[in-house]
Amino acid sequence: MTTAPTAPAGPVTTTARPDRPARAPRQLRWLLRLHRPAVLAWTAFVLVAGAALLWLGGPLTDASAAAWKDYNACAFSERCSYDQDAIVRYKDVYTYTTSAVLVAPFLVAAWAGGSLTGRELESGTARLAWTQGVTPARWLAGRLALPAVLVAASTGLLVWLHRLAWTAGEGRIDTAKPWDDAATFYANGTVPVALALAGLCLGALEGLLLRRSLAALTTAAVVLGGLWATVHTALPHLWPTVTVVSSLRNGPSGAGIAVGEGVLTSGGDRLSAPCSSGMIPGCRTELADLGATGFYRDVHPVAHYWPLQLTASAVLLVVAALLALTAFRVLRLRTAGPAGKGGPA
Amino acid sequence: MTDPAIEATALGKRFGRRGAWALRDCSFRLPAGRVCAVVGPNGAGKSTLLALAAGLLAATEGSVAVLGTDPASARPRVGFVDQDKPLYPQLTVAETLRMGADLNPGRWDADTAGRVVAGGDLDPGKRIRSLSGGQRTRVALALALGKRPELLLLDEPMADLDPLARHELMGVLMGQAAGHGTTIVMSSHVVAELEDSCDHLLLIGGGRIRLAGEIDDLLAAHARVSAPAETDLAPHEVVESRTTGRQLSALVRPAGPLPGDWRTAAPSLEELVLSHLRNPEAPALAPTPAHDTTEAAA
Amino acid sequence: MSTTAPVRLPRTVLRLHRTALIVWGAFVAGLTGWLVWLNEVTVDAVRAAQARCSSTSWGCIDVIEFLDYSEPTGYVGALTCYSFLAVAAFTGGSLIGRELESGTARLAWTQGVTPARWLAAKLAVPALVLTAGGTALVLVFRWGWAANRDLMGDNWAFADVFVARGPATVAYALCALAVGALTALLLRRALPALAVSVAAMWLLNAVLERHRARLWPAETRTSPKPFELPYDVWRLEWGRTGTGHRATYHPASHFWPLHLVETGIVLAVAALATAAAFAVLRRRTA
Repeated sequence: MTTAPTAPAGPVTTTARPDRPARAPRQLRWLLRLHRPAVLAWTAFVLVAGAALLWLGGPLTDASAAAWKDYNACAFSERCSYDQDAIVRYKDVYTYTTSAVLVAPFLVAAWAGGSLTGRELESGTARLAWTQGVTPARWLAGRLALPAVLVAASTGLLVWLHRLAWTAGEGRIDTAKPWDDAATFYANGTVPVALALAGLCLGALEGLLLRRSLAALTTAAVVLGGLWATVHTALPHLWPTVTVVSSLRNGPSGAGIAVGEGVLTSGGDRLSAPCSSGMIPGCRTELADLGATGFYRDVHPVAHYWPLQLTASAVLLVVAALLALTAFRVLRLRTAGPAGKGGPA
Repeated sequence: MTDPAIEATALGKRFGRRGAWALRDCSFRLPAGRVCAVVGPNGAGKSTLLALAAGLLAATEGSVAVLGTDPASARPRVGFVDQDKPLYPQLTVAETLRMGADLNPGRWDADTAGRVVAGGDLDPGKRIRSLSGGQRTRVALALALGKRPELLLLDEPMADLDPLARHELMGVLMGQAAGHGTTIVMSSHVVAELEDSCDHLLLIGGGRIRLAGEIDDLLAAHARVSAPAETDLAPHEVVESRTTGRQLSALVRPAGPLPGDWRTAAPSLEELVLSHLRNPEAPALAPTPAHDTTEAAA
Repeated sequence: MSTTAPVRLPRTVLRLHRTALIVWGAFVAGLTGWLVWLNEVTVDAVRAAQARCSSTSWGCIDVIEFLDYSEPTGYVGALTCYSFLAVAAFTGGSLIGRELESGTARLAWTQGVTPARWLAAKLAVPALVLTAGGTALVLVFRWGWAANRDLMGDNWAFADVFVARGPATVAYALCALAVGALTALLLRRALPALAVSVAAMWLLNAVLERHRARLWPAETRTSPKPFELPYDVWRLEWGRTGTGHRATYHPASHFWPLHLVETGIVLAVAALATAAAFAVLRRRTA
C-alpha cells in the first residue's frame, strides 16, 4: 500500500477522521434557525388563537350565558333588557377561533410544501446540506421529526383549549353549537392534530416530487382539502352505528349524526320510508301497506364521539406514515442510496 | 495501490423515463491525488457526472465508485460545490460557517474555512442574500473545503469570480491538493482556465466521454500535421482535417511514426479539446489501466 | 423591437402563467357547471321529494333533500366570494414575487421592456382575465341563487352571498391583484409575499364585513305594538324599548347601495395599492 503519489508523507487528512465520528450532525438547531420567521409566525398564531379560546371559554361564555338568562327570564314581559352584544361577541369569537383551529392543518401543509422541502430543492440548498455531512435520509428525518413534534404539540393545545371553551358554554348558551355540528365536531377532537401531521408529510412529499415551492404549496393545501373531504365522507362509517327504533306514531327519532333511516317491517326488513309520521292519515295507510312496524334511524350518539374521532385520527396517521415512507422512498430513488441496493435496478 | 478517486463503469443517467440521456456509457478511472478538469460544452453532462459522483443523483445504469466505495458512503469524505452555489440566503456568512461546523462534527476545519472567507474581505455579519456572485462562490468553497474532503467536486467554480479572486482561490485549491493530497475535480467550459493547474482531463461531449486521461499523455497521443492536399492520412486516426488550397492540416492520433515530409507539431490543450468537440464522430480516447500500472511503478 | 413589445408582452404573460390561467378557467367552468347541474338536475330530485311530502295532508316539517340543493349552492357562493384569497396568493407568490426573487424580472427589464410597462402588463392581463371570469361567476351565481329561493335558507345579507351577487367579487379580485403586487414589490420574496398578501386581503375583507351594515343608513321602525318585519330584511337590532318595540334593519332594496359602496371602497384600495406598487417600482429601478 502506498499513499497517493502527489501527497506528501505526513499527517494527511487521517487526523481529521478518528475512525467514524460518533457525533451526529447538529442539524436541528439549524432547521429552527432557517425557519425562524415561520416558527415565530406559528407561535404568534398559536398564542393569539389560544388566548382567544381562553377568553371565549371564560369571560365571553359567562357574559353570553348571563345575557341568555336575562333574555329567557323576560320572555314575554314588556320590559326586557339583556346584553345582546355579549351574545353576538361570543358567536363571532367562537366562529373565528373554530376556523383558526381548522385552518391550522392547511397552514402546516402549505408551509411544509412551500418552505420545508420545495424551496430547498428548487434553490439547490438541499444538495448543499446533503454534501455537508447530512445524509439525505437524515435531512428528511430531521425535517419531519422536529416539526411533527412542534405541530402535534401546538395543534393539540389548540383543540384542547377549544374543547374547554366549548364545554364551558354547553347548556348555558342557547345558540352554542351542538357537538355534531361539523366544524365543532372536528375542532373539539384529535382529527385536526392528525390532519396537521398528514399535512406536514404531504407537504414534504409534494416538495420532493414537484421540486418547486409554489407548486408544492398549492398542491399540498389542495390535496389536504381532498383528504379531509374523504375522511369527512367516510367518518360515519368508521364505527358501528346505533339503531334507534321508534313507533309509527312518532316518526324516526334519535339525536346525533344520522347515517340512515327508514321503516322496519314485521319480517325484520329495512325499507325506505314513504313518509315520516303515522300521525298523518295518508301516511298511516301507506305504512300499513308496507307492513311497517316502526321507524328506525341509524345514528352515532354523543357516546360515539371519541370512537369516531380516534378512528378517523388513526386513519389519518396511517396516511401520514405512508406519505412519509413514500417521501423517504422518493428521496432514496432520486439520490444514490447507501451501499448495496442504492439506485433503481 | 490506493483506491481511485472516481471509477465509472458504463455509467448512464437520464431524467424521466422517456427523457434524453444526459450521460451515457461513461467509463473512466481517475487516480487519487489528481487535479482533474472536466471539460465540455454547455449541456454536455458535466454537472450530471459531478452530481452522480457526489451521490446526489442515482445512476440509471452502470455504476460509479468514489474513494473505493459507493457515492453515498463516500459522501462524508467528499466536498461538493454546485453550479449555482446554493446557500441559505437568510443566514449570515458567520452563521453559514457555523452551520458547516455543526453539520460536519469531527471533521470541520474552521481555520481553512475562515481563511478562504477572510481572503475575500467579507463582513461575517453580512447576509448571504446581499453577497455578490463571487462572494457567494467564496463562501460555498469555504464550506466545501472546511469539511476536509479527500475528493473535491467543483461545478464551474470560477465562473463568477474576477480574475484576481480566481487566481487567489485557484492558489488555495492547489495548496489544498498539494498539502493534503486532495483530489480535485472541476468542470468548466473555458479550457484556458484549467490548463495551467490541471494534470488530468475528462472531455465530455453529447453525454459521452470523448477524452480521458493525463493531459500530458493525451497531448503526446496527438499530433498536428500539415501535408499536401490529397495526402492519405491512413493508418493514423484522424480527429479533424481541413484542406485550405493545396494544404491539408489535420489533428491525428499517430498509429506509428509519421512520414518525414509532413510538418508536425504538438497540439495545445485548447486545440485538442476544440478539435474533438467540432468533430463528434471522432473516436473517443481513454488511455486505459496501462497508466495506472506505470503510476504504481513510479 | 419597441413597436412589437406592447403586442407581445401580454402573450408572454399568458404563456408564463399558463397553469394559473388553466386553473382559473377550470374554476370558473367548474362552478358554473356545478350550479347549472344543481338547478337543472338536483332540483328535480328535491322537488320530487317535496311533492311526496305535500301529497299527504300534513306535509313534512323538513325535507332532508333540501340540503342536497342548498348546501352545494352555498359552497358555490363561498368559493366565488373568497376566490380573491387565491388571487392574492397567486399575485404575491407567483406573478410578481417569484420573478423578483429569481431575477427573471430583471431579465424582462433588460429585454426591451421598461419596468413600468412590465408591471402594467403583469397587472393588466390578469386583471382582464379576472374581470371576465369574475363577471361570469357573478352572473351565474345571481341566476343560480335566485332560481329556487324556496329551497334555500340563506338570505342576501349572508357574508359570502352578499359579495358573490355583485361586482364586489370582481373588485376584491382586482384589489387582491394590486395588494399582491405591492407586497411582492416590497418584500421581493415569493413565500413571504404570498403569506402577507393573503393575510392583508383576509383582514381587509374581515374589516369590511364587520362594518358592512354601516355603509348605508339603516332603517329604524318603532311601534308601541309588536310588529313583524318582512322575511327578506337584514335585521340589525330588534327588541323592546321602554315605550314599545323597535327594529333597525336594512330592507332588501338596500342591497345595491350597500354593495356598491363596498365595491367602491375595495376599488379605491386597489387603486391606491396599484399606485403604490408603481411608485415602489419606480424608486427601485430609477
